Amino acid sequence: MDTIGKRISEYRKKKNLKQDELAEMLGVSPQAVSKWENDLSCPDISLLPELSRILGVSIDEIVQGKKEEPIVSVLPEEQRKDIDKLMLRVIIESAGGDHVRVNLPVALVKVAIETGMAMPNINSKINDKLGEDALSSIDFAQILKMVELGAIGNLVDIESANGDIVKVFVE
Amino acid sequence: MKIDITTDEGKRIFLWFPTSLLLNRLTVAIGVAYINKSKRNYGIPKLSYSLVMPLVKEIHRQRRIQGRKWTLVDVVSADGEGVKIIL
Repeated sequence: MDTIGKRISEYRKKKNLKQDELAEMLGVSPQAVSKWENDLSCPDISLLPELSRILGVSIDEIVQGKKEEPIVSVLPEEQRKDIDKLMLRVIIESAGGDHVRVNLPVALVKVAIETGMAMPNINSKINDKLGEDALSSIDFAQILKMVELGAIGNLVDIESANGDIVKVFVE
Repeated sequence: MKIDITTDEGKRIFLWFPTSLLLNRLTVAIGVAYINKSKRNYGIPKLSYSLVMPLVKEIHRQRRIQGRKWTLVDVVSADGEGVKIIL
């Protein structure tokens, strides 16, 4: 079974570090590192940020073994999906509890931009509630350029001080 | 086009319209004229038939690609009212 100790040992070896070198970097004894790796004890919580920095992995990866998925990926040309199969999703969640989801095929956004049409505010009432032109200030032409270059994922993620959230992602 | 409306009292209204009846050359021409003449501009810039028609064509094309499961808009208010438009 995969344990914290085994993961620390694996990541340390990948970094070509010896137990005593890691111990020195963290300011603990080599015996402490040995105990962690043999699952006889766990590293102190205050050491985790430094341990994650030294090992080059996230704290989640050390503690839970989960790899962080990149928020935005740039796919090489051969892995890119056909633009017809990509969907641009706009999610607005106001602090007051209103939710708006708009799903626009990327090809449709492309046609809208190519015809010179300015992307209208998807919902001007929501914008009024947000108290700003949150959506009209998002440059969809730039988003489209990023998508054409292979970017997918959460391309825009805005959280205002009063808790309103606007997300634009492509999948 | 399916429009699913949910009121805050829990009532549900489900409307079904043939999309080609709502989105065609005639309705685009009427819609563009109405929006341009309307005193309220709904935050939409000046439109023209030649500007909107390629979009309508693309919407019809996308409907075929997406396999009629394309939820264009889904709005849910804090008090439970909701509108969903499925193309």
